[in-house]
This record gives sequence, structure tokens and C-alpha cells, in this order.
Amino acid sequence: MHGTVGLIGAGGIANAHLPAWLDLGYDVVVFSAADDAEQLIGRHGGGRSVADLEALFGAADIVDICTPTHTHRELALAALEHRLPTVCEKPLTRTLEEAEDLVARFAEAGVPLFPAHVVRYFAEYEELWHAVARGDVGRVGVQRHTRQGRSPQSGWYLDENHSGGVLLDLMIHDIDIARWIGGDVERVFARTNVVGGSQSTQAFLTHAGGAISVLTATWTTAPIEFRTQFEVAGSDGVLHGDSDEHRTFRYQGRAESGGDLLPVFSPLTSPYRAELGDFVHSIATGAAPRVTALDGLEAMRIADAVARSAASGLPVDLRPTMEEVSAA
Amino acid sequence: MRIGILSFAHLHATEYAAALRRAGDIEIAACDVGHSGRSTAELGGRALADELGVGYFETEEDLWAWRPDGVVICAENARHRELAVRAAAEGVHVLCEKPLATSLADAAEMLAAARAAGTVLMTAFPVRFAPAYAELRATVRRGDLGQIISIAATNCGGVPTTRGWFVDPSLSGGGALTDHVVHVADLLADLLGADPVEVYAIANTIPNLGKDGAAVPVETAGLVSLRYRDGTIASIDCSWSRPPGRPNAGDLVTLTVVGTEGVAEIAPFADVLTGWNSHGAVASGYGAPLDDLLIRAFLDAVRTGEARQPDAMAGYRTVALVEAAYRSLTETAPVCLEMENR
Repeated sequence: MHGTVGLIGAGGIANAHLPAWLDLGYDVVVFSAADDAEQLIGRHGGGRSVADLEALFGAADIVDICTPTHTHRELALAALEHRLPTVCEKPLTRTLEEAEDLVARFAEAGVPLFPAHVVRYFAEYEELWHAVARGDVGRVGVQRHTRQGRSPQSGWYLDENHSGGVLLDLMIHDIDIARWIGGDVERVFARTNVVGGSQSTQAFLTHAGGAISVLTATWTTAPIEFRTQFEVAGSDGVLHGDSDEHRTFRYQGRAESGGDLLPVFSPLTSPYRAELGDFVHSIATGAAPRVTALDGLEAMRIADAVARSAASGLPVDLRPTMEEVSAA
Repeated sequence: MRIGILSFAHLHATEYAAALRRAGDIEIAACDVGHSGRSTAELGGRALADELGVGYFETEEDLWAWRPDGVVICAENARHRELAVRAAAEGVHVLCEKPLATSLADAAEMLAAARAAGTVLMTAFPVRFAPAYAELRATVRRGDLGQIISIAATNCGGVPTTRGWFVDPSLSGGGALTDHVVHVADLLADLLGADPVEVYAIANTIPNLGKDGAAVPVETAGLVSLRYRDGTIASIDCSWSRPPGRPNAGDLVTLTVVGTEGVAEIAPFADVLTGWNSHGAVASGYGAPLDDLLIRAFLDAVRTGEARQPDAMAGYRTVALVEAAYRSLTETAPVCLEMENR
């Protein structure tokens, strides 16, 4: 045992975090305002539920916030009052102002805050970063990052005020990746189109180093499979990734797909385990994790610019404020 | 029937010559006056005409005097206007390599000249004939996608290296934005039956440096954002981002169309056998003969005197879009797409 994690929320992403914490050797206490903690614990065969947040904070060495986006800020501040290192599911908060405030307060208190931008720990994106760092494509020139899936069927995701819609729930991943690969962003232009429960946002980024990127995030009411794609082209080469290609498992047949949002957990391949393990390591050693609170804040800053540009129809200039780029 | 080929500046001329030969009973003759001004490494002139098995004239005046029924213009982009206007004056039908012109003013003049002369002016957009595109068009028309929300288009290749003029802006009009926006812009215009109302573009010269290691004098990466009156949004990646010597990955052109009822994707050049030998990757395309379909449509237009698609307007509206993209680059802001002289 390494200690105890206080997991708040028992919905979608908690199903990825709980088995990862258990595998990392943590005891886990779960509190969920939705009263579904026992179901989560039963499903994964580990953890125990607690009656309220005070009990959770009392038991926990690390807090893990896996609740709807609009509740992140309040819960993170409560964790900070207990001076507990905190994992916060992405996006950090619902608004940029909240994120700025949250990151500043954790920094001031010297308490670690970890935005769970898990895509940096997905093997294909990790490999992309290594390949680009190695010089496989030369200097990065133009990137495309695409993420599309079926519109959430129900729940808080559909409420723009709670989730931030396709931009904060989906595109925030590629915003972080595009910045990780292409460097800080100076100018943002975006368009969005919403038709009923379907929406696409296309964001055009101009990076400080000269690279340009287009990010596309889509939720459609059509029953499509979740898919991610990227292409990164540089002064000398192109790298391409597509979750629909080079699959190691395919099934066609009568059985209906499980409809699970997340694949089966394996300690060797789970990006969630790698992500949480990185945070644990950073707490123990003081080394910066692959994705820092400032990275999470910068992703929010760019996302905010995307929303403002889509609303105004004009480009948004972002002064380079963060010298610090994650040193992964 | 007599068909002239005006210039081998654009090497698509060789493919059109081959398609014209396959089309049957046609007299074909070319003139490539610009050949003497090009690098000696660039095959052209009479030698190339001989290789292609077509006739040759030393001067363009000789070719006009031969009284062709139609001409295929494959000169440097900046010369399209001059040649198309002359063809109209001679009463000769035209198939013009894309882009139709390097400015909207030039394109308007070409349209007006053909209209006044009653001659056909077509734009060489062979992808319009791709079976994959026909399927996409039918899918959209049937309503299988529901209401279209967004489109992501790509046309990414390498820096053209067979001819030096592509990277000389005075002859080409520009780089990747000029060369690679128009194919997919034409597909979007035909698919949506509408032109965008607003254009935003960003570009750089990072991909594919020149032989001397310095950036080439035109943009090699470009991204374009479009908004349509009904709210549909679209993106185009037109970058010359493929390094030299790349194997054919079948991804020269792609379109992803997202709708409320479905998502459709096309990759019209994806018909490629892939494999390896001791030298590396082997790739061999087996796609539909798009150039033959384009040439067949042009010959039909020449025979009947009636334009076929893709017509002059198809070329014109894509030139308008490219011009707007360059304006957006200068202004670092979205610009309205103005399309006068229609």
C-alpha cells in the first residue's frame, strides 16, 4: 500500500481511474453525490465508499476529482484546504478565470495539482512526441488533429453550461496535444456549427514557432464509432496516426458491442495508470509530471480563445505568457 | 478533330496527351515555346512531343494557323489568361489546367472572352470524375448524412520538383494555396451547391525546404477555413507537406463530411497496391482513369459546342476562393468572399 486515494465521482472516467489506482497499490475511498459509488466499487472489486466529503478528505493522501466539469473548482478548493495533492479530470474547470484562480492558489500553497490530460499518455501520442523530439519530421510545420464520436446520449455532457460542450470535453485533448507537439500558441481562429444535438468545431492555431494547426472536434447524433486521427508534417517528413487503422483487435458479428466508453484495463497498456503513476512519481520525487498544472491552464486559455473566436468570428491573439513548457 | 496542346509547362500535359491519344480519331499537336527558357533538366519541346507521339509546332502562331477545334492549356498559371483569350478570339474551345487563373480579374476576362465568342471554356478538375466523389454526392443527395454540419478536406502533396516555375510566384501566382486549394474547393462547391461567404487562411514555408536548405519563395503549408451561409463550416489542408520520394499512400485528396445522420469519407486516390521489395516500399495505383473521363467530357463539349462540367464557372469560383485566402493572409483576419462578374 502506498496510501489512500479519495476518489470523488463514480461516473464514466472513474471507471478508468479506480482500477488504475488499485493496480498502483492504493487504497481507495469513493464518494459520489450521485449515490453510485457502490456500483463502481462492485464493478472493479476494490475500494470502499464513504458517506461524505469530510470522511473522504480525512482518509485521503491524494484526491482524484472525476466529477462533472462545472463542479471541479469547488471540489479542488476543498481538497486544497486539506492540503491534499489533487488530480483533476480535464478540463481543469468550466471557465478560464476559474482555472487561473485554481492554479494560482495551488501554486501559492505549494500543493501539487495535476490536470488529467490523459491523451499525453496514450501510446500513439507518446510515440508521436518521441518521434518529433527525435527529429523524424524535422521542424514541425503543419498539424491536423481530429476527434469525433457520437453525441453523449444524456446527462450533464449535453448541458453546455456544465460541460463546455464539444470544445471543453473533446477538443481540449487536442489543444493540449497540438501545443505539446507544436509549441505555444499565438493566434487562434475558430468556427463552430451546432445542428440539434450535433456539433463540430474547427480551430486554427498559429504557434509561436511558426507551425500552423487545425483541430476538429465533432459530436454527431449519428451512431458512429469514436475515432481520433492526427497528421504532423514538418520540414522533412510526415507522421500519421488513426485509431481506425492498424487495429490490434476487431470484431464483427451478431453480438452488440458493450457500449463501454473505455477499453478493458491492463496495467501494461492503460494510459490512465501511466498518467496517475506519473503524478504519484512527481509527488514522491518533486520532478515535474509530463503534464503540469500550467499546461492545463494553457489548454484552458487556448480553449477560451477558441470559444471567443467562434462567437465573434474574429481571430484571438494570445500573448505568450508561459515560458515553461512541460519537460517530458 | 484537331486538338492542340499549349505548352508542356505543366506536366499534366503529358497525361492529357496520352488520354487524347486513347480517345481515338484525333489529330494532336503541341507547342511548347517556353521550353527554351526552362532548365535543361526539364524535358519539353519537340523531344517531349516526339516521346508522347503527338505533332509539334515551333511557334504558337503556327499552332493557331493549324486551326484546331480545341486546345488544352498547360502553360504556366500566369499565362492562362493570355492563351485562353487568344483561343476565344480564334473561335477555339478550351480546357484549361487548374488553377484557371492567378487572379479573379484574369479569370473574369477569360470567362467574358469565351462567352462573347460563344466558345467553351472548361477547367481541368479531374477529381470531379472520381467514382468515390460520385458516391459521396449521391449519398449526400439521398439525405443519408442528414444535415451537413462540417467538412474537412485535404489535398496534400510534395513541392512540385519536375518544373521550377511552380515556386516562382510571378509565374505560378503562389505556392500550396494556389496549387492545392482549387481541387477540393471545386468538390465542395459542387457538393454543397453553394460558395462560402467567408474565408480565413494561415500559411508558412516550413515543410520541404529548397535544395539549398533555405525556404522556397512560396508557401508550402496552408490551412483554409470556410463558412457557408447556412452555417456549414469547412477546413482545407492544402499543404505541400509530403517529402520527396514518399511512397504513394493514396491520400492525395480526402474529404470527411459530417452530418446529423452519418459521416462519409472519400479518398479518391486510395486505390493503391502496397508492398515492399529490396529497395523499400512499393506502391502501385489502380484508380479510375480520371484524365480520360475529363478529356472525354472536353471532347464532347468541343463536338457539341456546349460546355460540360467542370466548366469555366467552376474554375472561376475556386480562383475567387484562393484570392480571398491570400487576402486573409495579408489581413490576418477572415475576409468576405466576393464573387462579381458571374
